[in-house]
Amino acid sequence: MKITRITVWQLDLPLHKPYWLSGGRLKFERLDSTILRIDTDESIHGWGEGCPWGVTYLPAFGRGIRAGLEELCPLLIGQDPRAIDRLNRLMDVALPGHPYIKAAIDIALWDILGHAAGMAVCNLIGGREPDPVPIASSVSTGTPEEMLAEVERFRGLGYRVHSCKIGANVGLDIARVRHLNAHQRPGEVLFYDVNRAWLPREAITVMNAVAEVQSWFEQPCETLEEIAQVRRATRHPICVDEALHTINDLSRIQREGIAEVVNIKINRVGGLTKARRMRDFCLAHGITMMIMDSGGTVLSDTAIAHMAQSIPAPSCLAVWSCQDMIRVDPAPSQGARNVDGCFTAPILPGIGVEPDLDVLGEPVCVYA
Amino acid sequence: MKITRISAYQAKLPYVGGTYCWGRGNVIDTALTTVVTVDTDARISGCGECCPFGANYLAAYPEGIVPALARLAPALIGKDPRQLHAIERAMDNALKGHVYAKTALDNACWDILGKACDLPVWALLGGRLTDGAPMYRVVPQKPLEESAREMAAHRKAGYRQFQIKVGNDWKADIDSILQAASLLQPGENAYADANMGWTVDEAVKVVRAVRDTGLMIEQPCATYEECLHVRSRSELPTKLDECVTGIDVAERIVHDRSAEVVCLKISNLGGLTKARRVRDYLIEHGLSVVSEDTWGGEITTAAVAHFAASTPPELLYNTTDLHNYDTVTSGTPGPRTAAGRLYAGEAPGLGVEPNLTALGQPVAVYQ
Repeated sequence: MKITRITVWQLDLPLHKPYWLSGGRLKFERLDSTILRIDTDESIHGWGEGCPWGVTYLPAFGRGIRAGLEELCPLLIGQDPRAIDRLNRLMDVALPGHPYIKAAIDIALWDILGHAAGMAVCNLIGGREPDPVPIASSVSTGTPEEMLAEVERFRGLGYRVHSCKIGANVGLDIARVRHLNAHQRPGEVLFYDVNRAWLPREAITVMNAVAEVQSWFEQPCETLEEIAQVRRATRHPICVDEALHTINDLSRIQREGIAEVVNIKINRVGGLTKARRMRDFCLAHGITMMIMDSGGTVLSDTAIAHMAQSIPAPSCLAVWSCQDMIRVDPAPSQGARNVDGCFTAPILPGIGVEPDLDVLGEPVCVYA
Repeated sequence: MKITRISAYQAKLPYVGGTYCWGRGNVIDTALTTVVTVDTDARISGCGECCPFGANYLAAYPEGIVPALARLAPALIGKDPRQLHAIERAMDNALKGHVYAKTALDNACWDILGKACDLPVWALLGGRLTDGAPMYRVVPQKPLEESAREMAAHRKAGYRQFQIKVGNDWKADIDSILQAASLLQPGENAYADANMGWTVDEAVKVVRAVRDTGLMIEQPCATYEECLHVRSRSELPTKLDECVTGIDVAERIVHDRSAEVVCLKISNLGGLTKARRVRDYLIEHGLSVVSEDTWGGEITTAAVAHFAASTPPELLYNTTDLHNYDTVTSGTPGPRTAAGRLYAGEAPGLGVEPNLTALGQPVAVYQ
């Protein structure tokens, strides 16, 4: 089997409403998604998506994906798409770094392998675990009351895990955590995502002020060094998200005991292949995971659903459903959907999502 | 003073020696450079340059620069270019990462600040501490007598530092290092640069085999962690290069005592603003640094020369005259070189203007 063509679309994804994170430092209204289809000489094709959360959340931006695809796609034409590790190495040699550019390609390769094998991707990466995976909501930064109202809205959609975005104001953050914690219901998980907003001093102040709260704090500061410093002066479990890019970061997190939880965002780490490697390291070392994308349509969401579906339930806390926050759906009724606050990976071969060409419109680029 | 326009130019820089080989079987003959000019409402303009070494050397590729500029440049229009940290923050808030694309803009703002206060950039960076930064030459890998003749010529030209290019075939690399060591005279030093080419086990075998030479080993493997592993099995001094991407890595180097010499490639760090911060942290901790960049023409080398000039001589290991590696000129005049040393000039700013004849029409203009 050989890759014969790669077609690239750009899709604007307007958010239902403006979204603030990192303590209100960063505002987002629209995402810039890149969707691609890899065709082969055997009437099998695969779909992948790369969608950074704006341009300021991670070192990743939509135009950068498409610029990088110009470098990578010509190298892939003529290659066997089923040799996924080999093609990842090829991409890494040709274009070091920039993992976010490669994620869409990697996801499409897994889609092809699934179609070729007649198996869902979750079965190819270790096997389907029985339970649906809880979806974490994404509660935009606001006043304590606004945030609780948002949690309530998500409750109405079936969510039981809530990622509450805080940061940037010590006094207000303490009030937010206390208010939300006081209204937590039995069986619910609320955790607090700082998105790098605190300095170590602020993190230590807030976390120690809410020492009684039984939850974890996600990415309290910018760097692993800062988080390690916070860790030494606080008692809560910590989750690393934005500072986890490579397996080297992960081994350091484990070696230095920096976190109990990591958030593996598939597009940030470079796709399912690299995420799988991180998953296995986490399982070997008892690190709990959240599996997410940095943004995207049901296509990205379904890719993460497959990864999450391959993880034994206690080790996978949550996935994320970006599709609930955007106004465009290129594959209505397909893929992983919110059912009672959970995702289940489709049983169809591959990723199991076939986007509607009418929604995608004209491709921005075709490599053949 | 406000930024009114930012223009980007691109040009191919062919390698003066035809083909350049590095690391594990990589070959390059031409690099694509990007020069930016930043215009202001005060009739002062500045220039900066970023030239990744192909697409597969660092996490930087030339075709990635213009898409990033499309994000960065609009965030700078209307800003005061002399407020370098405000410019740095504006760029970091407009686009995370991609520091190589920010380098050209940052350096152009240093150029403007220098011109605005009629001072060369080395004066703004703390003053001239090194007058004539030492450079190195590559040890020829030819039969012994021929190599010795070429080394003698380098010596006569003033060079005392020599780089041994390794990283492709570890067994042959051992022979190269041993031969190079035999060619050195008192007062000269050499280091073997693997450019990330060895696996950890290969590197460990090499450092054992060449232990008695006492020569320094540079960036044996791809990642910091791998280099740290090799270091733990080695008695030879270590130089780190490609993995040095920011102040966080500098902090680990100091903490882990993982290198004696740290190569600072300005575009791998994000421009003079960030590079200065990293340099100052390292030299405060007694580590030697190299002022360098990935590749580039006269504008890149001017920044390298000013950075080197403002580094204390006892902690400046060496530098590179990158512009003498190209056959095309990105700017004029290039920094002066003489007797194996690179000099930063007295002209305000970087002291170099873009060579629009070679650069042609801009590929993008933001205003």
